[in-house]
Amino acid sequence: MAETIPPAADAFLHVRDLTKQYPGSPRPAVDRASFDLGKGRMLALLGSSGCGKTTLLRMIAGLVPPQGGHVMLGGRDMGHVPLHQRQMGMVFQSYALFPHMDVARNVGFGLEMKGMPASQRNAAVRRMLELTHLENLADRRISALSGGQQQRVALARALATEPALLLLDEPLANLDVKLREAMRAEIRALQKRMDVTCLFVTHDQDEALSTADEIAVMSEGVIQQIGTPQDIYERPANRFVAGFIGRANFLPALWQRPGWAEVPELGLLAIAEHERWQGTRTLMVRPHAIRVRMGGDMTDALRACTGHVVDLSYTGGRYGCQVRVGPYLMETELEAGTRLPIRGQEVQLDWPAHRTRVLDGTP
Amino acid sequence: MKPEGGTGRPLTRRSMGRAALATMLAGSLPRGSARGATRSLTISGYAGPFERAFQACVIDPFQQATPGVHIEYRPVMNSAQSLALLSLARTRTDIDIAIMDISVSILATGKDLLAPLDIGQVPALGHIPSWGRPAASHGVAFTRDNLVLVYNTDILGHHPPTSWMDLGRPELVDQVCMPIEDTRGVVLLPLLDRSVGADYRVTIDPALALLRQFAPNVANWNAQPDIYTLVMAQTVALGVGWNARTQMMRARKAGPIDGVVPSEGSVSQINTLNVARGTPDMELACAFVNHALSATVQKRFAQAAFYGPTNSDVVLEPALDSRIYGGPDIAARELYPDWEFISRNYNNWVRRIQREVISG
Amino acid sequence: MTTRLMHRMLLLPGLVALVVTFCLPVAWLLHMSFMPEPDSPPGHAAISFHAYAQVLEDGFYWWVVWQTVRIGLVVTCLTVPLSFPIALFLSRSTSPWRGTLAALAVAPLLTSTVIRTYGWMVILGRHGLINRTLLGLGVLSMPVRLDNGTFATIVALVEILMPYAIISILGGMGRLTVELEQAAALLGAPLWKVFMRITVPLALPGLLTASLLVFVLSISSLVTPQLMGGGRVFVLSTEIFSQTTQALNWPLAGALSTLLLALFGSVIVLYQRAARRLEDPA
Repeated sequence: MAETIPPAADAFLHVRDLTKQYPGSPRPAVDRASFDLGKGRMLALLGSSGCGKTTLLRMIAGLVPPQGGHVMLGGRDMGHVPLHQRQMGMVFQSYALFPHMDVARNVGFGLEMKGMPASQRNAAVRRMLELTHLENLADRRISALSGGQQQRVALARALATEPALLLLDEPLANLDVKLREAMRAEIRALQKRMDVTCLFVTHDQDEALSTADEIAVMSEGVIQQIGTPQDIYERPANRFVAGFIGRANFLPALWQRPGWAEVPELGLLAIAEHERWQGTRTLMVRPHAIRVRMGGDMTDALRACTGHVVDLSYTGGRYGCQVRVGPYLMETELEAGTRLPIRGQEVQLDWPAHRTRVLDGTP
Repeated sequence: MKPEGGTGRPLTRRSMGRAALATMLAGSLPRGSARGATRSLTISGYAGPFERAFQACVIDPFQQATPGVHIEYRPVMNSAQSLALLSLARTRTDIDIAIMDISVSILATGKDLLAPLDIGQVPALGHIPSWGRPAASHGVAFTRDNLVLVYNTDILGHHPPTSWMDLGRPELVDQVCMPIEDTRGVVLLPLLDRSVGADYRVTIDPALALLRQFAPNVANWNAQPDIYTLVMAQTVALGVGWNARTQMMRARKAGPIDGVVPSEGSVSQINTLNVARGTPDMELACAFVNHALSATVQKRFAQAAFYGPTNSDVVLEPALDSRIYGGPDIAARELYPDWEFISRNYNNWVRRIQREVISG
Repeated sequence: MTTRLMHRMLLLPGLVALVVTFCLPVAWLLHMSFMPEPDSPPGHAAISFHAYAQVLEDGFYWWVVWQTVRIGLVVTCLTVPLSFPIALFLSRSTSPWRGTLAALAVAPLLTSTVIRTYGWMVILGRHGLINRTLLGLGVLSMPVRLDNGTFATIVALVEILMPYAIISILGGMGRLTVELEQAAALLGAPLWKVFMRITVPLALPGLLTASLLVFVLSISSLVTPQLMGGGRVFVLSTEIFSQTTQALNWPLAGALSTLLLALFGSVIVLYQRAARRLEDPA
């Protein structure tokens, strides 16, 4: 875990041991959350609802007082900095647009509070509206905007003051799927262009994987793993992260000898040479790493398991194929256009040893 | 100037409107008549102690003496409400007898709401002095009640008030209650006028000037719930009120209260009995009025409620007599005003008190 | 068509109740105000403007109208700002006592006006709490009159009307959320600017309704000016009451009531203009 955190020296946002327990709750909503984020980077706080990700974001924003820990932004301790001096832009899940102001006044509100003269402010607002493709809606009332437009206004408003940190709380949750993907790219482009450090909360792993530089996976108030999307996906730190991100097959295994592990009622599977453990652990293989072969010659019978196709389903561009191997049900994937097995057909599954990940605990 | 009775008039739009309203207002209050009673009367009069005394001393003995008769007492806020009921009920004659202040009785007579009483039907009229039967009123005086100084005996017991001028005593700043936006004020004006040698029929300016002199002492110009409670509760030390209520409170030992008929003399508020025009049982109404005016009933009522009798045959025991009239010397200075004049100027005088004294 | 008819039928009971309890009495009131003066003989002219002429010609009634409006304005200007923080607190509170606190805030509605008014007499009276405290502290050498007058009337009206104001403000704060204030703060607005730029504008519909309600209730209140005014407070309602019950000048009472109705009407027109401007700032 430690190796995925960038060195603290170039950390722009520095969060240490942030803790919050709501009264009457049996466990902390956020338990000693720590991470560092470099300038201009984008971190996704990923987790299912109730995992504490929004509370963590709100503590960083200063909206929820933490019970322990601290936040530093650009080397400044944010502990006693009041909201209006934190220089953080935030996009709320509800957008929190001011219903009594038009689009331009919403976007210009932060600049007005800074005391920027009107002429200068108008130019800045215009630029921000252009960046977010809102230039034609400047004098529109908020209630007359679509969800996507409101989203853009919220973003433009948060970025107009050129904040040190941009916080997004489930910014895309209220949009439909198509719009969500377009906005995702747009937010990312804007964040890069303005070089703003960004933290966003999401429960959508695709969103996190495709948009963020780094992902922090949270569960039950604890950050389970922080890393790049590749790290998180390919090298999950624990059983939870592996199960939460993407689809995966889990097999119990005992270490046999270097390079080999035994899966009960299945036999020996090849693993990386350096892996070594005592007792039962869990092997994880991603579906797309598994090759499905039909009736071909067995070059290495020991590295393949034989089973029968239980189910085949089209998922757009590819097929999901469930194969029963002994007591285990394995998820695999087949490219569309390749030769497909039929239900009940005998198939062999194999995958390179380095794609097998050894995790703590039993499946 | 006496148009014929209200019953035979053709239905105009206005009288139809009145009838509709009367139905609306009175429909929910069915005419009181006890089961089995063949003849009945409804009397409107003041609520409270007056009602209790009237029921016990006047109504109950009458009902006992004349079987088959039921008398219903309908309590009202003030004489004005009785007048309102009388005028609304013209087409229904809900109220047979109204107990009203003499000034209101004169108003009601002017509006032709009352039936004149005949000495043949009400022989007791012969025992009522002329001030109790003014020409302008069809009513007849049933009791009288002096306007007095009401004071708290704990505060002023060592130096009780004796004169209307005591209302201006310098040490009583903010300790006087003068609820005078009604009959009390209207009868006070002639009294104050007389005390400086003026005549109310000519001008009430001197009286108003005196009231303005008293004004700095006045804590309130309307008494809530009433002057007697305020005096007993020490909210104020002195005030202007009616003697009967004061004496009743004192006799009941309700609090440190007493009333004084000032040395300049006083004016009596006169409660009259008035028979409504068009009452269905004129004979019974007259019998009741005659009964109420009889010396026995009058004496009993005075003993129970400290109201002065109007029947000149009544002789009260001296102690009670001085409680009611303040003794023979003071009683001799009683002012008997021209009630018709007062009735005509009533609203105007109240208005002048409001404007020139209270808000002035 | 039938469903439309049904919908109209549903309106019927309310409509009937409105006609019977409001329209008819008001019509009668108007009719009464055009009746000739009470001393004129019966069966006279059907319509007379005498009562209105009396009101318009008499400076006293103008003064009474001014008193009425002045007390209404002062009470409104005190009640609404005093109720606003309480309403805000109640709308924000997450405490388990919130329900109890809300009930407490409207509890004055549960006690009779008369009882509450006597409570004020105890506090404001010559020998009341305030006078005794100030005398005891040596601030005063003589008790001052706090009761029996306009001051006491205003104090009691403010207290009595605060629950109405709190409820209306709460009801009109639908668009105001904590997130909007947080968003404004994060955009650099200090507390007071958040209050002035976000909280107040968004609570404005409620504040406006509360102002209307408080003003209307205070200019139509009768018992409080009677009990607390010590006979010194002359407002339209007390004047109507005394004309009806004492002077028996019903046409005049009718004319004054019509004047009061006209006052209500103009206040409501002003309110609707303001509300429309709120709806559509352009």
